[in-house]
Amino acid sequence: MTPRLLPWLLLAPALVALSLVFVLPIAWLFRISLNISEGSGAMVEAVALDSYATLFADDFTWALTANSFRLAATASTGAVLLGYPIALFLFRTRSRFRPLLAILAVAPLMVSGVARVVGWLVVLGDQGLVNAALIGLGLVERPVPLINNWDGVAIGLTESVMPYVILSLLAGFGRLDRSVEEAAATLGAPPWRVFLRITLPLSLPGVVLGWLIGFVLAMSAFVTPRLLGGGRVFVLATEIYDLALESVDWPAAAALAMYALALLLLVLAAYTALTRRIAH
Amino acid sequence: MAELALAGLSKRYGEGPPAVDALDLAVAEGEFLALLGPSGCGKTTTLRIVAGLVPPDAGTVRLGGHDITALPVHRRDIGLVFQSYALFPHMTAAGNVGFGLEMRGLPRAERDRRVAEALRLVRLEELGHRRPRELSGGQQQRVALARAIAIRPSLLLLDECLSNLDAKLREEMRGEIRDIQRAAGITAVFVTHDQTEALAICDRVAVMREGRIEQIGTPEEVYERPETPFVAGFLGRMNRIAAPVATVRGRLPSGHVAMVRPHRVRILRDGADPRGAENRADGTVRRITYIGDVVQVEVETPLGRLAAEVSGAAPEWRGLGPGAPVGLAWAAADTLVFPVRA
Repeated sequence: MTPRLLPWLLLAPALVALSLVFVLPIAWLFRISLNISEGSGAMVEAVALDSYATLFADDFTWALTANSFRLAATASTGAVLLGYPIALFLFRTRSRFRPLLAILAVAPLMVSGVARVVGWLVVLGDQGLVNAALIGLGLVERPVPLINNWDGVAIGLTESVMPYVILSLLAGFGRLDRSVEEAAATLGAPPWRVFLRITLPLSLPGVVLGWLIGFVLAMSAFVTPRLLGGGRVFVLATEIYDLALESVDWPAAAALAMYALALLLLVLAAYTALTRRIAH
Repeated sequence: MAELALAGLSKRYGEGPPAVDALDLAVAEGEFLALLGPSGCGKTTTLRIVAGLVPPDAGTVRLGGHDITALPVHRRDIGLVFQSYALFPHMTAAGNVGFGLEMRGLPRAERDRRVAEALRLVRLEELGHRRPRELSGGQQQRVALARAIAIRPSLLLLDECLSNLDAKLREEMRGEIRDIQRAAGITAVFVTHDQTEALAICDRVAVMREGRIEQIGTPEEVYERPETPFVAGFLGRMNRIAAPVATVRGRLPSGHVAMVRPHRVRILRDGADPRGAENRADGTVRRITYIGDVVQVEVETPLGRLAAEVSGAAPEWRGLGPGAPVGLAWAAADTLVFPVRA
């Protein structure tokens, strides 16, 4: 065995698995998107761009894109804002409960997405915890609609991507060094200026990475917009589902899926360009 | 520029023994003091308490007559050079040096002038635009020093700041630090575990042990007249002799231990005259260590294994090898005597 071959052999299992579960299905999906669906709903084998033409001619596609972007950006930004202090605390604490606290922070991952959304329905519903509290305190007179609308989806998405955001923030905090912050303090920087001038800039790679992962996950989320949106919030993921399973228009669903994938790849490309600039 | 006075300073981490134990220390205005001790002796904790990075459990820190014990770090006006340098990686060298001035709200022009001045002082005026990772270890260390003195602090603290440099650079830097400190007239405290560093650049040396100051004095005092066996053993090399030998006060009393520095021990070849050396021990050479300027000769004697140190150019060690019979001699006046602590 030549030494040059060895790394490839070690990589082989991962490459094979990745091809089987990722590359092949996507290629297959792309193939389906080139087929033609007839009015009857039957799919005809073809190599045509009909479904893409329909897709891009439809204003609804642009509305869906805007919706997805808006929701994903809101959720990811919210998750970064909420997750940052938690991640920073976890990064720094010397408490012996640190492992436990870290597990708590990512605990939502242990519950199925559906169960979590149902939990949110209970909390955010008209008779839910939040509204009961608001009414009980006399802050509002009638329940604030927090489900079956944008706000509900935004809240649910924020919560669902937060564990991932916290983990990415933690991973990205590598350059943070307590003594560097201490140095800033000895030079006369009060805590808030230490944060703005030292901590935040040094944790920026983590913030960008966390935001990106949150964004990608929120953008491809299906369960949360579907269940908390109550059929009133339309995003790319829900539309793909509807096209595939309700309209049974596979070529159209596949084309929309390819389009969504392309959008995410664009976001990733932008991230790569951005990090390259930060690094220099 | 101000004098520093620590009184009854104590700090304990968790359940262990105190890191700093009722420590009193006074550093005069413009003085350069070394806090010297083995790792874990509490010297760094003391420094961090003075800087305001660690709150003491008890005691006070006074700087220039003001009690600053409760003052937060950023209002203390103390320059600190970290062991790791702790430069801001996302700023240029000039940005690092100017940071403290920026925090003080100095106008841009004044800031630039003082940054240039500080960089010139550490001979880095050409490299102000570089990021820390584009600088060598020695250059980073200079930036850290320039950053700490640019704010013209009342007190300069140096935390093992030379230990990451190679030997040659370290020697060069310690001379520079000394010059800069003296030129600026800044009161300075230098924490180190390296006795050569402490002796070489400081006005006074405080030897610390287990959270207390074991002895404080000029480098010559602590080296030549150590008050405890710990100080004697920590500073420089030392022979420890438990057997009775001649001392200035006569024979070594029981319950005491005698010590003599290797470079005070002479090597006698072929029954040479010990000339005024009251102590004499004959034995065989165990090991010869040649370090260039000095040669260490370890000799197995009835008094135990003793080391003698002679100049590399001296004739006494020539031709000696392991197993060779040799005589050692030293004066009673050079013999230090300490009671053995129970």
